[in-house]
Amino acid sequence: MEIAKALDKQAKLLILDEPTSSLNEEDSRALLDLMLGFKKQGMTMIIISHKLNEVAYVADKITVIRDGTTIETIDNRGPEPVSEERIIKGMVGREMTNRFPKREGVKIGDVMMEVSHWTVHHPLYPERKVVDDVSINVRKGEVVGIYGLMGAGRTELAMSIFGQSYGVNFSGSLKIDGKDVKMKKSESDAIRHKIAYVTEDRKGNGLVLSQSIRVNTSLANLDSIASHTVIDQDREYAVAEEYRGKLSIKTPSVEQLVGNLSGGNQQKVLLAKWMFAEPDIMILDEPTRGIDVGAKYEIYCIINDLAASGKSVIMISSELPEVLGMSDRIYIMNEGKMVGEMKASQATQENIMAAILRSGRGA
Amino acid sequence: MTMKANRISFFIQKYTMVLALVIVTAFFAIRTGGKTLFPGNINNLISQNGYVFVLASGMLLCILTGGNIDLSVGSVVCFTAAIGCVMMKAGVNMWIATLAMLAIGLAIGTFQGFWIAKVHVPPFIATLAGMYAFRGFSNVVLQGYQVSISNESLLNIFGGGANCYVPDFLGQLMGREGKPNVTCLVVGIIAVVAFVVLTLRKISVQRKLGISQSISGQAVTTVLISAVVLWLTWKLANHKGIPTVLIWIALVVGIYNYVTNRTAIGRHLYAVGGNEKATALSGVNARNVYWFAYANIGLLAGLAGVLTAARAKGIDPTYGEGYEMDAIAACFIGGASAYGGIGKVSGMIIGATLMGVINQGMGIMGVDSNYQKVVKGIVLLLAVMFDVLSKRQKR
Repeated sequence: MEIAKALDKQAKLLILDEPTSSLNEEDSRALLDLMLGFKKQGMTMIIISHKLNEVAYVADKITVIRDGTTIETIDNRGPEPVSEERIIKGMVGREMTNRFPKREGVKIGDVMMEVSHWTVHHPLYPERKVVDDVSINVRKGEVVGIYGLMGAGRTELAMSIFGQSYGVNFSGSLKIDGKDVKMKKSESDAIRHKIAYVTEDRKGNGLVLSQSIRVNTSLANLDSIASHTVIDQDREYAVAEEYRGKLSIKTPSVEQLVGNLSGGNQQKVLLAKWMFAEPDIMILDEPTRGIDVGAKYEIYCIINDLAASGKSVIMISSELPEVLGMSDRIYIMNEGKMVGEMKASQATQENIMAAILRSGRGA
Repeated sequence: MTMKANRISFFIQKYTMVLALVIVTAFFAIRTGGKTLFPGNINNLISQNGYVFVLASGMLLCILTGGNIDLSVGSVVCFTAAIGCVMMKAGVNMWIATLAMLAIGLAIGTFQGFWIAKVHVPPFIATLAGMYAFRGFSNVVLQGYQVSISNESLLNIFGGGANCYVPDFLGQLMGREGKPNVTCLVVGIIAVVAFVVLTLRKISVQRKLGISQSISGQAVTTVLISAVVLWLTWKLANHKGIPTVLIWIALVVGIYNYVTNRTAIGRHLYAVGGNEKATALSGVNARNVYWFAYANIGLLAGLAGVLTAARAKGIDPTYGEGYEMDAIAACFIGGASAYGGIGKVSGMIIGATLMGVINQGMGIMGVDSNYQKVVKGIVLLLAVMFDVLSKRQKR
């Protein structure tokens, strides 16, 4: 739509800033093909994107910018598109042999949380099922990936587990550490049951941008640094400093406003907030959306550390390589239903997509 | 060079309203030949604006939740004062009447807060309804007439009548009467010493933790505030001593400064105003935060009712009109964000004082009261405009 407007003005130079960030893969592909069409008509275009495959697919020249300066410009007019590894090398300033750090020697324990026959209805159209008879479980020390296309009901599933913060007319059962849990419609109840939900929308639902790193870090667990509602500011500062060090949040001070940080550092503050809440079960919703490759790698390391310390991690993602690279086990969702479960060792891009397509045809 | 220019512009941005207050005070002092700085006028400035400080403390909490305001406080002030005055006229004990006024204020605030927090009525509408309703109730209670009170101890304690000053018991002890008022001087000096000690402790803790706050900046602020307090003390000591209403102001402002800075509920107010959804997802019951803010301002409206009735030695059905606007203006001039989440008690104090100085200065200069309103409007607009512009530049 915006692009149509620009064309209407007979633009000679078109600058597209993350044009596909809200599109699914199919539409993104269509848009990119459209761009290739414009190119043949002689239009000059600049595409700004953090999705490497898109850039490699459509661009003639790729300029890598890091920390506000140009790092290098790569020619992409050869017969074969430039490999993603080649671009990443420029972005992180070193060769990245493995985009996903290995998790070694982590013992997977007993089932920590078990959700069975979970059904959630849409808050505005209560006759519509957004999550339909879903059963999942996660073990101690395990990273479980949930993959699905946009609108598959992954976020809705996660938020409904997290203190029913989404949806109406819930049914199904929730077991934590072997015990049945009847949760009230309250986020604080979920936090008491040691569940954390790290939102996909860090600016909208995750952080208070007008407040400092210190304030954001302590927000979900103020009780632990306060006595009789009076906050111990020295301890709060110490806690914020501790997590700044642990997660290597790049900032001159923890008094920095979160709104002034980059996306990757904001995501780390969000993770710090939930790690400080000391959950046993962490649901990470698109933990690496919109952040650069270097920060992604650091987030993956944090996820591995969480699993190594015995936490149960559920990672929701729409990036297949990420799901494949990070999970022990993968659930696949489509249109509110669970359409597949596989061990990471057996999963491939092909059989995951096949599971989704099968379910689409079956319906 | 640019570093220095940066620091100066940062300083101006941070202390705009303090500078404005100094300039405006100096302007009126020069134009009135120093009359505005007479001890008696300084004393009046405090006594006349007591209700603004009290109401603005409550209003600040409402504004923090997301730029929400409470339009009903003027009417609630009148209503609680009306009930209290009628009770006392019927011979009820003054303390019972005072407690009743506070309780009624709290009850009204809780009632309005219920609609806002639980039924999701927009605060503007809910309190507009309250503004009409309680103005009407005040009229009913007073039956359209003025009711006056003559309970001397109530007047003295809450800042009305001729003797509403803390008696100079230290001066009497020393066997001397008259000016300067010894008690006032001693209290002022103790306050400054306590303030300096607390600041030093804060700085030492910061150094221990390695927080890099500029120490020279803190020292300058501390010295300036101490100087202002000592100056005020001297002026008041040369009038009749500490006006009792100043104690109420100091108490309220002190409590709310502590609540907003140091307590969990204060933190929740800022967080809800900054991002309500994120705060709710962090396990904070955002609706209860709203409820707290509105119940609280009801209580403070009750206290302001007591102060107003005492100062006017009674109540008439039109009292309290426009009080809500004075409180709102004080907060916004003091740097509170109209979108919520930003604002400080210290800023509110500057805002309220600035409004008071302008009012009084123009009054002494004999400016027509209609033009006084025009000037107030312009000041409010300029203050908020500056705030918006300086934030936009930063982006």
